[in-house]
Amino acid sequence: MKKSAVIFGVCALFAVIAAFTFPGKELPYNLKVGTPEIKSITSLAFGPDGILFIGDSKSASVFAVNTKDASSSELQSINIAGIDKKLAATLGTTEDNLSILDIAVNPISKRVYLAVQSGDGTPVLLSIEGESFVPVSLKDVEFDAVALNNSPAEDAKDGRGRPLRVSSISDLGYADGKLMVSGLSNQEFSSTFRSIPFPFTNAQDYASLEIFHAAHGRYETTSPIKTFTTAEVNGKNYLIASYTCTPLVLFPMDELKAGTHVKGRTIAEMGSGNQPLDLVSMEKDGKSFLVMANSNRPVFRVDFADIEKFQGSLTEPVTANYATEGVDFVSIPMTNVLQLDKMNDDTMVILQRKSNGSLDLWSTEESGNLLK
Amino acid sequence: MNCSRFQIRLCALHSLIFFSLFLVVSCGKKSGNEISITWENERAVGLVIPADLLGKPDFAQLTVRLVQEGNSVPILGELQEIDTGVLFTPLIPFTRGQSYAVLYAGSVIETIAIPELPDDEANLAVTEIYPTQDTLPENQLKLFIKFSRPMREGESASYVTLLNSDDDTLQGVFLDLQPELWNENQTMLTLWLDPGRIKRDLIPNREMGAPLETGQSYRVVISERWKGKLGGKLDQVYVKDFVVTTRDSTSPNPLTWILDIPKAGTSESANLDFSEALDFSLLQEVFRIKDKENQKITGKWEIGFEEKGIQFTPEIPWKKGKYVVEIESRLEDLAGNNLNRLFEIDLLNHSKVAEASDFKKLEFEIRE
Repeated sequence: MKKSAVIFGVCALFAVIAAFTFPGKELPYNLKVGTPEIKSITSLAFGPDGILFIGDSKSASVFAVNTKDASSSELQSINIAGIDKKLAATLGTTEDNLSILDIAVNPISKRVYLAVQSGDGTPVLLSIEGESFVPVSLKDVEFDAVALNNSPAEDAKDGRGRPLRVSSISDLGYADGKLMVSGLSNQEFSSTFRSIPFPFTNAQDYASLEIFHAAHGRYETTSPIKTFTTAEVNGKNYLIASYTCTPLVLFPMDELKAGTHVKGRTIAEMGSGNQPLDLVSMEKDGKSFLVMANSNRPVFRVDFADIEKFQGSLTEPVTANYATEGVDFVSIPMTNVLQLDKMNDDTMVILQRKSNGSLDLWSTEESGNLLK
Repeated sequence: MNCSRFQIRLCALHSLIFFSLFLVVSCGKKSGNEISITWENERAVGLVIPADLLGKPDFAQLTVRLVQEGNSVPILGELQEIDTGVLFTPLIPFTRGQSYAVLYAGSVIETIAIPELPDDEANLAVTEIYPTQDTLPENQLKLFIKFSRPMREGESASYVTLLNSDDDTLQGVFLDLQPELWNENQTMLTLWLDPGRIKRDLIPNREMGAPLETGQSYRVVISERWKGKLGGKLDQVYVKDFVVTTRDSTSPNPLTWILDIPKAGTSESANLDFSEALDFSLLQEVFRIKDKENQKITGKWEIGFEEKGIQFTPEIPWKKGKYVVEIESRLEDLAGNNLNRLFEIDLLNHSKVAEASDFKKLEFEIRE
C-alpha cells in the first residue's frame, strides 16, 4: 500500500514537471484540434498560411481548417480531361452522381482543392496531385468555425413545424485579416454580406450590410451578391461584386460598415439570361484584369485601367443607347466555364464543359494570350 | 369476435417465429465467409470482409472497385480492422444499383451488388407547389416545390420547366442558383423567377421582358426523371397551371385584413383574412399574438386556403381582454413587396412612404 502510494507520488511529480516543461503548444489563429461537423462543402477560399475556409451552406457556418499545406511550390500545370469520369471511378460511382461545387487554389503551394458532392449529399474535399485525387481528411484537424447568425425563428417549437428559412453561402473571400461571406436566402431577396475578422472571435459584431441596387436611377431594390473579389482601383481598395441580376458593382471597402445602407456603383451590365459564377483579378505584363465566368455567356475580361477611367455610374438615369453602356468588357473565346480560380498572377485554373461534352480541368499558362 | 382475435394472435405468433427463423438463417449466412454491406440511414456506407475470408490481410493488397467495363481504379476509402474482419468505408456511400468488386492481391474475391431502393420507397412525389392559387401576378417572384422525400440537389434547371400556352418551353425564366435553395432535409426547393427580368429597366428586363406576361396562361412542369437523394425518382410528371394577372405594386396592409375574433372561454381559432395570397415560407414565421401583459400566447398557426389567411388556435382557452397580433414587417406578398417597402422602389415617385418598422401591430379585444 505504502509502496503504491510512493509510485503514485513519483508519477504525479513527473506529470507536473512534464506539464510545466512541455506546455501545450498554442495553435495558430486560435484553432483547436477536433473534427468539425461539416454538413456540406459549398464554397472554398484560402486564407493565410494554408488555412482553408469551407463554406457550409447546410449548417450556415464557415469553417477555417488548417490544411498544413503551406510550403511554397512552383505552379504545376494541370490538364485533366474528363475529370468527372475520373472522379467517379475514384469515388466508386457514376459521373451523374457527382457535382464539383467549387475549386480553390492554395496561393502558397499552388495546389488545387475540389469540393465534390455525391447525389446523396455526402461532401468530399479532395486535392489534386498530378492526375490523381488525394482526399483531404477533415477528422482530427486544427479548425475553428463561425456560425452565420442564421437563427431560425424560436417559433420552431411553436407547433409550426420546421422553419422554412433557407440560407446559402454564395461566395467566400479573404483579404487583409477579414473573411468576407455573401449569402442568399429563400425569403428576402437581399444580400447578407458579412465581413468577419479572422482569427474568429466570439463577438458576432461583424458587418452585415444592406446592399441596394438602383437600375438607372429609377428603380431601387435590395440585391443579393452572387460572387465577388477584392482589388485596388486608383489606390483604393474595392469590393467588386456581381449580383444575381448580373450588373458589376464597385463598393469602396472603407464604406462597408455594419448596419449601413450601401449602394454600389454599377460599372457594367453583362446582359440577360446570365448568372455570374466566379470573379478573379489577374495580372499580365503589368496590366490588371478582372476575369468573370458566366452561366450563359463566354468568360468576360475587364481591364482595370478601364474601371479606373470609368467615373460614371449606371445608377444614373440612362439617356443613350443602353446596350453597350458602362465599362468595356471583352469576351474571351471560352464558353461553358463552370468554375475558375487564380493560380498565380497570370494563370487560372478552369473547370470547363468542352464542346465535345467532356468536363475538363486545366490551367491556362499555355494560353497566355487570354489576358493580352 | 374472440375467436377471430385469437386467430390473428396465432397468425402473428407464427409470423414472429418465421421472422425469427429467417433472421437466424440470414444472419447465419452473413456471419460465414461472405462480404456484407453496412447500412446507415438507408445508405450503404461500408463493406465488412469477414476474418474467415482473408484472416489478417495486408491492407496494401486489399482494394475495392466499381464494376464497370475497363475500370481498374481502386476506390478511395479507409480500411479498418474490426472484431469480425476488415471494414472498408468509401469516401462516399456506395451507389444503389451498382456492383463492386473486392480484390486481394489483384484477384477478385467477391462481387457485391448494392440493391436498389425498395419499390415502396422508390416512388417519390411532389406534394405541393406554392403559391397554390392558379392566378399569379406578372411580377411573381418565386415558387416553392414540396416533395414527399429528400431530392437530389443542383439539378432543378434540368427538371423544372415553364411552358407557355403554345406548349413552348420558356428559356431563362428561373434563376440558375448554385447552391440551390433547399431546406435542410431537402424536401422543399425555392425557385426564383429571374429578378433581372422582373426588375424594370435592367438590361435583362429590356432585352427579354418580364418572365410572365399579363393575360397569358402557363404551365410549370416537373419531370418524372428527377431522382431522390437516396435513390428512386418521381412517380409521374407533375404540373401546375396558372394564369397571369397585372403587376402587384402595393405592399400588403395589415389594417385592411379582416380578423374573426374568437369568444372567451373557447379554444376557437382566431382567423385572419388577408384577401390576397402572401408568401408561403414567411407566413409560417412572422406572426405572434400577445396578451395585454405582452406575454406570447402559445398555440398553433395554420396557413389558410391558397395562403390568403392564417388561423391561430390557442393551447388554453381565450380570456376576455385586449390582445395584439404582431406581424414582422418582412412578410411579403407574391411579388416580394413587404410590409415596409415595395420590391422595387420608384425613386422618381416621391409619394409619401409609410414609416418603416420591424413589426406591424393589430389590436383586438375579446369582450364576451
